[in-house]
Amino acid sequence: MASESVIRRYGNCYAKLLRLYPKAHRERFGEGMAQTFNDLCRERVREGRGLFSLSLWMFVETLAAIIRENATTVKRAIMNRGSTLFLRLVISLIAIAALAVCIFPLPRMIAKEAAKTPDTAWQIYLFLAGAYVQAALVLFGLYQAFKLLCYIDANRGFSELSVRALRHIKNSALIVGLLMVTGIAWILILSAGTGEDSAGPVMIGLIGTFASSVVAAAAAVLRTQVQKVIDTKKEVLA
Amino acid sequence: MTGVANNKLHTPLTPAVLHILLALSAGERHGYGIMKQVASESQGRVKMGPGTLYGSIGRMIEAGLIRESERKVDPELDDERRVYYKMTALGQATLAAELERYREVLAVAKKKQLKPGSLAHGI
Repeated sequence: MASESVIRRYGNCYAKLLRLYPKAHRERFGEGMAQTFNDLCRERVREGRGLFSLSLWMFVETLAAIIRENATTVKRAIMNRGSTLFLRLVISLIAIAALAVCIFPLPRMIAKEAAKTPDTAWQIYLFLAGAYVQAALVLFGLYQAFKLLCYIDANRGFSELSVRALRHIKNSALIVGLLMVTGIAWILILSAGTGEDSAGPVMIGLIGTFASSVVAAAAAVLRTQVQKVIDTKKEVLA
Repeated sequence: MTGVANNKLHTPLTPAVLHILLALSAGERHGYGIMKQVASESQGRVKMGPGTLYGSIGRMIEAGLIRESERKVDPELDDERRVYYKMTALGQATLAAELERYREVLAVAKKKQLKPGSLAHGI
């Protein structure tokens, strides 16, 4: 029958529209919605009226509902993961900034300094190598922090995986701190020889050493607490 | 649907939710049946499409006001099996509370001798 084929055609288009719903909603109500659409179309045909305006209205109405459902789904996801989402974003931005500094301004700065004193350029390049090792450790630490937040999201905040991540963060921060101290000593020795003012780089080094010490201490304390909770849970379950 | 969660009776209900509960008060229905009942009871004033209907159904199920019943064929339509919905005890209590709220509002209006169609400021 001509009207049945027209209903089927509109129904197929409507079924395609339903794919825009979030998966959970689509799986639960998709079939029912498609059936209801077809029922309304058949009712319209029985009344001897056209299908275009009804279908258009239902398409627009359903599209508005799709936008509402998707917005609700996104809002729920953000609310569930809001705090770690913000922290993960911050960590990602810090990592990108650190990588950008390593790739762009740092090599140019070092090359400029080395060109001023070609005889002792190797000392400056050694300093650059140390800076890159520290950057790699900082990026590794940020990666472990990111993983830790993912574990928290997956309700595995109190697990051996988190303990391991915190241990890596602590060790990375300690090594960065040691390298900073070595770097400060190196700068002082170099500037003693040339008589240059090294207050600026030394200050940066001291701030960096202080920051990595704080991170190492915080990671150590957190690791101890998380390990205590894990051990207590094991005792309770045993 | 404001604040309905975890077995608490929260009113007021949106018009869509209220009419769906009214439609299901007489027994279980499938989606199309709910739509027809709502259109009939509201004399065409409350018009909802499948998007609004099933969005409301989803939220009402989450809030515990209704639940899915069985899948069965509606002999008046075709031979496709359809999901039926029915009210829960919480849904019945919420509907009763909402109707009581309407009765109280109507009682206040009667006391002030306000009639449908007349304006509140004395014309």
